[in-house]
Amino acid sequence: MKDHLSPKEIARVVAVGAAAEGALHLRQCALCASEAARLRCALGNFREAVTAHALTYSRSPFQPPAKATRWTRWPLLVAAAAVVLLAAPVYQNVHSRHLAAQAAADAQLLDQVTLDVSEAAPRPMQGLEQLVVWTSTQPDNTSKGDVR
Amino acid sequence: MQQVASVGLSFASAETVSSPSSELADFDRLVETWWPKVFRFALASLHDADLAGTIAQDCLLHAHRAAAGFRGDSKVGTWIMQIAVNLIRDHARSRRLQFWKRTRESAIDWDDVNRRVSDGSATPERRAIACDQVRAIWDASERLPDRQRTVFLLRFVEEMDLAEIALATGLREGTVKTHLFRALETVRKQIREVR
Repeated sequence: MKDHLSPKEIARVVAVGAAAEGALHLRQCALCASEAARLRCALGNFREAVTAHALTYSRSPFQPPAKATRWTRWPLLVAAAAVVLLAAPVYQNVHSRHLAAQAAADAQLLDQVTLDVSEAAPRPMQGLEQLVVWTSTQPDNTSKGDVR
Repeated sequence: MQQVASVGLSFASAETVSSPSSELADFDRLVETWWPKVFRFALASLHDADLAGTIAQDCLLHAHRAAAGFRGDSKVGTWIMQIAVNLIRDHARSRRLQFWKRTRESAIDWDDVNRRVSDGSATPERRAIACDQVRAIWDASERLPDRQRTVFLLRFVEEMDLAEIALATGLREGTVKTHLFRALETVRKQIREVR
């Protein structure tokens, strides 16, 4: 048995495996085995790096993401539409109630104004009104002429 | 394109699978199973994510369209990789006619590689060396002749055995060995320079 495998022979064992010449030596020589393990480790890291690198770019064109997001938006749109449909009658009801209350207040104020205007004497002079005898009959022409 | 698929049907293997045609006929399943592997191989071969995506897409469409003619003489994976190898080779031929290469925007993130590599040692120095080794292999593989690179990647990235590589590349097993030894020798020299 020769001392150690050459780097080329070690590479052959790594490439082909147990069937390669020198595989038996590799099982018996710790130094050559560690050299082969180092090469295998580097190649394994390379495979791992390529796989990870591919995963970052590997998006199949047959499953476009836009399609998925478009469908996931539907529940949100439906929920928003439902909120609008439910909120609109409530808003309308509140708004109409507010308008009705406003109209009632306006009518009450108008009635009050009408009442005030229709009174015979202004409110501050109502005390004097009690001192005057008020008749609703028409005065005759004779007495009218006498007065003149 | 049709030629690629027909070539893919011409090889035979002792290994068979239970229902290969059903796997190929179900396009969603075909994409789910094989897209990552074909894309990875194409990306490692071309070092370009856009091209790799195009190759992977063409490859799976070819496989799906040719599903009816697939006899199941070999593993589905070997057959699909043969289509991928042929598509990449055709692309490499057409690329040689170009006067310049397109800018590659899919450069590998070496910081990410540095975080991921695990060589059994947690020391930053060892991890840095491991990352540099990965980088050396990545660069060396790009400079390899086309056949050597294909054989090297099928062996050490796709982990195919020599017989499967021979089927996928259409080469004799002895020729595969020769290309593999030469490729690995080049890569090993690059790794040694890092140490």
